[in-house]
Amino acid sequence: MASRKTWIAAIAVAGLAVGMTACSAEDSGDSGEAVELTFWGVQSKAQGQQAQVDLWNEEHPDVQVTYVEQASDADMTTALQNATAAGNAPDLFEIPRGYSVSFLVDGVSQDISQWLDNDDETFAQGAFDFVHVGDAVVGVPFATNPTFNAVNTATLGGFGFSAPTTWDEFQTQAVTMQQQGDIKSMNLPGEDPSYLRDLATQFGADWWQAADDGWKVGFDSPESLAAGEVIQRAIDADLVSNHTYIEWDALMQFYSSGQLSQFTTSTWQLPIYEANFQSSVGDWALAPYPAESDPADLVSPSYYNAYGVSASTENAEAAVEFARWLATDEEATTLIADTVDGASLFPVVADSSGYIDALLPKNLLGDHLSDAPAIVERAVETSRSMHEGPDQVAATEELVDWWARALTKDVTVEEVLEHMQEWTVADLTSKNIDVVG
Amino acid sequence: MASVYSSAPARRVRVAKTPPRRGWQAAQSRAGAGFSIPFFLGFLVVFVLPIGYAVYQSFFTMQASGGLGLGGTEAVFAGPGNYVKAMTDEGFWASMLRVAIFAVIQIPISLGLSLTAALLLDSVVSERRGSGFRTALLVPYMVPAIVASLIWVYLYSPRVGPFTAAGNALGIDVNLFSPGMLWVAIGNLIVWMVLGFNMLIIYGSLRGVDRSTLEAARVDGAGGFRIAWSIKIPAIRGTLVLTGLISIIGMLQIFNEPLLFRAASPETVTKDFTPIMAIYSQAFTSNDYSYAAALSIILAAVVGLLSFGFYTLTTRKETS
Repeated sequence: MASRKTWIAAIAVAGLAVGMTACSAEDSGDSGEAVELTFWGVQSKAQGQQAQVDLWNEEHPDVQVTYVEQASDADMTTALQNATAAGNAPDLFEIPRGYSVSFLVDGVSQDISQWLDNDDETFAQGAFDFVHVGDAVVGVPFATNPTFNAVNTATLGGFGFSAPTTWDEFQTQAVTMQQQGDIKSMNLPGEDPSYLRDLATQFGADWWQAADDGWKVGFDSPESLAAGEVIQRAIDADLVSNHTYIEWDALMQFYSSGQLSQFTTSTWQLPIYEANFQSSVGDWALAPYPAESDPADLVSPSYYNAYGVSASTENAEAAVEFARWLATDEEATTLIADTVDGASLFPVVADSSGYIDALLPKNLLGDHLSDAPAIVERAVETSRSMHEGPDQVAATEELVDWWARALTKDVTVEEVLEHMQEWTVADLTSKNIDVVG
Repeated sequence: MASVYSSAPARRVRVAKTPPRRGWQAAQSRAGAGFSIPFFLGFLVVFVLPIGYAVYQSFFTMQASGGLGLGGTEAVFAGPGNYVKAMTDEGFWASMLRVAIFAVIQIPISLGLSLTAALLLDSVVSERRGSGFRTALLVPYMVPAIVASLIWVYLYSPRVGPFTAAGNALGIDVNLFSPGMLWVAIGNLIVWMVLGFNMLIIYGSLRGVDRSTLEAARVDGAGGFRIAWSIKIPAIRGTLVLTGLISIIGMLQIFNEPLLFRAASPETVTKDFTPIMAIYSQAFTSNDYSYAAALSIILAAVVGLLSFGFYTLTTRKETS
């Protein structure tokens, strides 16, 4: 039945795609006709992306863009895979998180290294590096996620604490709060291993690293295992809660209850918390992500969003130019960064300081608002991201299974990482992709 | 003469009338065939061709080139490689076994409840009141599976759901997301969704039972339970076989419900928790359509075999 549904969906999407793209991807050539591009985005960013497209079309009569909204990352992935198989993929699309390299491997997107440069240093260097894999460029970066902690000052202050600056300090404070007030200091949902990934990123791990002749897999690297140890200590000391995103109301109630001292977040999430917290609004302050050892050597984990150019487009150069405009034009980035009419995205331009104030929620941060811009700016300056891998999404699904087991103390985090090392190497090898080191 | 006169035309009539009748039948057959053409075209396009393509695709595998895999991907003939891999795929077969055990427990409970509801409705004298109950029982079936799952995820929630709170009031620790209770939670959700559908089929069949037989049984002193057990249920055995078949086929294909519960309890609902989840994961997460196609063919074969076995078993009992 699943195969039936799958194939029916594939045919339906293919048919739809034929109709939709029949009038797109027209090469202007020398005829003077406008180039027509099709651009697929995801619903959560649709409002800002549509506004960007409208502005582009107004300013660029020679390249006209049609915007198509997909409901979610999952829908985008399925639709792209089917449209690619049918040969009718959109010219440009938002790459669902984790797919930047695998889409290139699977022939969904193409290497755009001949069209994308950073000679004018418009892009933040970290963002530009993120899309480089070996000699290839997998997409055009358009947003980042500077990572920091939100701390409940009322809860921490009740114990005489301020925001922890290192993970050792975090552990000491969290144990005290747990023992004296049953306060949790990390919420680790079973379906989301991003805490582990963030910590491993900060500690310098690379789960996938492109070498000259193959991928170096680093789930069991010393850096990764050290990050795992930090989380293991928190789990063992019962400092961790496990509220899931599927129980959204309960999650928001818990976050705002004062029973959670802090959580890791980024700018795009802050307006959501402000809208959903029923209490403790105004008690929250931003603080740097705790450092591995010396706060002066802070590394803040981050990741990037990118647009991909389809392998079948006849207008790759125009698509790259349009994507570059979406990511770096001041008017365009202001539109997408808007917290009300846009998508609260943090731009990847070299100087992003001018966007920070507008991204910070005034009510949630209350009296702590004035300190927040410097925290965000430092998170941007000290950001580090892992590169994505060719089987990252499949590996993440496997990681979710094992991560949840670690949270229920069925296995240790070290065992999770060792399993992931073994699984990833085997998976890459089965796909005829080389693994080195 | 008269007889000759009368018989000759009669023979002529017989001879003359036969071809038109055959012609009429042929025309009717052609018309019938014509009406069925859209169905067969649709059947061919959305069923036969995709299955044929899935079978074809299952004999290939995608292989990347270049050390990093960035040199392009090509389909390589793999012979029975995907099927051999599938036969030794412990995760896939564990999901089959998991769902089969669940089906053995859940389907009889679900069908039993549907049968009970149908029998009770059949006994209701007032047609209007019966109609109201039928509609009410059918409402959950009209709710999309994903919406129903969301509703029940909230109801089951140990943090905000009423069941945990009610359990706490009674001094019982109720966590329907815990590994031990998750199947109960999913089973209850499925019963809620399909009870009305199966009830409707069974009820329709019950309405076809000869009322004079039931009246005769009543005259002979049989009570409601006796009539249901000895007359109504044997009379609708074929319908029960049909609903059983539908339930078996549907059960091996459960997807939406466990997928949503995965977010609540991923340590229990793994990515290959059910066969369809395993296939979905291969197709859309690993982008390995070929292997997903092979798993789909195997699943279809297993469902077909189980359905055939169930049908054979139940009809043999009926015959005996």
